[in-house]
Amino acid sequence: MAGARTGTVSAEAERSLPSFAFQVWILLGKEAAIELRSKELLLPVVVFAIVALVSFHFAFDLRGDVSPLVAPGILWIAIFFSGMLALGRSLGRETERGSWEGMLVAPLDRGALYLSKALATFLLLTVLEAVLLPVGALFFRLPFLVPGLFLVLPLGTLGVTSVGTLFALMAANTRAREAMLPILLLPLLVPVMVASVKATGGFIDGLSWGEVQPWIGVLVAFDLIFLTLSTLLFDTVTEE
Amino acid sequence: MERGLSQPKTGVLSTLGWLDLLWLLSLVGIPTMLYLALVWAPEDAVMAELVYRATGVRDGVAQRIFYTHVPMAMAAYISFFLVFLGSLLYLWRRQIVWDIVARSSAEVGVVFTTLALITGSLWGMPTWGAPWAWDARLTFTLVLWLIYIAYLMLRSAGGGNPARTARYAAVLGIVGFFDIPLIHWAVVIIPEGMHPFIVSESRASLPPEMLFTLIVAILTFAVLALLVIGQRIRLELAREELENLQVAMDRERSAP
Amino acid sequence: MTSAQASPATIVEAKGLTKAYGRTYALQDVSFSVTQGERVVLLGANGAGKTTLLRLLAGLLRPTEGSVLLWGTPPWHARCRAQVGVTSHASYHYEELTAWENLRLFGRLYGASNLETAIERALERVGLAAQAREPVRTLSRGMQQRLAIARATLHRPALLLLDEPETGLDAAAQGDLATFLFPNGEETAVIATHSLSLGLTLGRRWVILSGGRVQYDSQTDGEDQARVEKNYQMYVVHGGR
Repeated sequence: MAGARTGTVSAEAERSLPSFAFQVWILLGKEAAIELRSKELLLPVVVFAIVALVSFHFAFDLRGDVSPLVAPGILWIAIFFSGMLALGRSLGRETERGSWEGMLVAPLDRGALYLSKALATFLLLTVLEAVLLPVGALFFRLPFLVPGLFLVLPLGTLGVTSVGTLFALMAANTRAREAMLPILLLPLLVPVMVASVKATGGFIDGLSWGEVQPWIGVLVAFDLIFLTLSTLLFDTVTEE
Repeated sequence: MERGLSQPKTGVLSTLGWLDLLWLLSLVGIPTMLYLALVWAPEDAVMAELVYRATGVRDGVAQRIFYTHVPMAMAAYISFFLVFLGSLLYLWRRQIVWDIVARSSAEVGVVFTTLALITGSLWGMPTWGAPWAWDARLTFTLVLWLIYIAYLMLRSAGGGNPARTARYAAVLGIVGFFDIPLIHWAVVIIPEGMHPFIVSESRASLPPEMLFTLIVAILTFAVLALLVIGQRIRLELAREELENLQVAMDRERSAP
Repeated sequence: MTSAQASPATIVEAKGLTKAYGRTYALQDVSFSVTQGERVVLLGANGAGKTTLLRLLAGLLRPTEGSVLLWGTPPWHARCRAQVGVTSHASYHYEELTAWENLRLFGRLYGASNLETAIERALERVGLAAQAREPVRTLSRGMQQRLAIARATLHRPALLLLDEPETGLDAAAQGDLATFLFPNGEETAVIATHSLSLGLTLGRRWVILSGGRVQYDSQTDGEDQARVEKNYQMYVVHGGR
């Protein structure tokens, strides 16, 4: 059968390659299957976030009046650091175990590879948040159960994973990777940190939409700009 | 004129005769700017009043640091724009020159940002009575400083693959630049919009002598930054040339 | 891109191929071409440049100087990669997934047709049918290598790039390697190996690399096995001295 091929890139093979969206879909399925089987990312991330909450309790004594003041900061620091942990592991284990090279050899669009990693981490962090909010609200008396959070959380989380995926791959290929990722990422994520914390605080304090809206604007702009830019730049990070 | 520094392969930036012009402008600009800033410009009543209100000290001299602080920050922004341009052109053309432009500009930009942060703190002492009061603009400068410190660290953590290091750095140079307006928006514009009082006070119109002095200072520091970047590029190109010659010699020797 | 049907079509065309990491040259000025149906064996000591050359052909590396084309297209383009099958030092598998799931993932990404049947046949051919539903983590090194071969050949690639395909295989499997890799017997392949005897049985053309350069090519420097062995002794065993 293969002997019938001519010396050119055959048109049939090109036509049967999966589309960009389908590539993302296949790869997301791969991420989900691996995670459901191993829980190698979700478990450490959830445990880490809860350990962080307990540490915050000892640092700030969350029983007192400070709770509503520090709650937005606690929430977002927990998400940021869990996000970096998940991204570092997710890209790190691919490069360590050599499966990443298999992805680079496959006829994939690098942008699809990027989006699948970014979206998989986004979904992972969303699961984490689904645990973190009730736990924080019930056991730490943090005012986490506010409807507005359902808008801020996805926007801020997407901000973390958009740039985070790009730089986690870069950090995975440098010396001192564990230290490099936060050093690279935290300054770039300043707009996300500021806007997420302020918007969360605004919703907790029951501010009007007009006062929260500028911060939501920052988050939407950040997500759009960096999802696009990272999809375009991912190719240059994967090439050798 | 280039004395031994052979033309880089691209022919770009080979006309570093520009440097001589920048030298000349700096030699004239720096004394002029110092005279204007330290002697000629009047001390501003509005600023003196601010200082007095904050500290109870009638010290108008401290405000003169403003003629170096603002231009240093501007010089840093120019450098970071050059990092962006160099990064973009490197990813597009894959010529080492553009990586050298980006990395030289980043080094100089970090130096000027550091100086801007130091002068800002010195200015802050009499103005706010503390070296650091999380003033919106200084905070913005601090975040830029952190991004480009990370840029330099990424370069030094690259390991034995210079081409990869250059690519990674270029990605950060581009992402960082697109991030700047968002940081400014989140750290300066929105907070100031919520406190319009600060805006009206800090944007109080400057007397013409002060404005003139400030413009001369900004131009002088811009020239100075370009001069240092240009020198750095010339040095790095020479080093690159030397290395290429060594490699060529090695290869010649090992060739069958 | 199109080629005359009269002579065998050129698949790989490398000209002045050079790869440097800073001042270290992994490959220097390598020019060669591979035509349809050719089976080229790369021989050489560690660090001779075999892996670098294969990685350049697979589009995993970009050349520092020179050019490499597959079917007239740079190998890092997706439509080129779709036609190539690769085995490498890394097996590429996700160890949490089963052998069957790994093949299904790669088969879908390559747009392979009749995937279920193709997977079953590939597993059958490399002798892994019994382990199809076991997680790759539990497979031995040799079984993982068999799976890697199944994965590389699953989508019926027009060009195989094989870096030491014998790694981890027992003597019996090494004997069967040709049937694992070339079920049709006509596949075009570039194979790097440390084993001269395996190289002599798998290949029809032999290229010896040393110090990142091509030192001997049986196509131009004489075809008989004695010469291959003499040059192998000279460049690989005695390091070119």
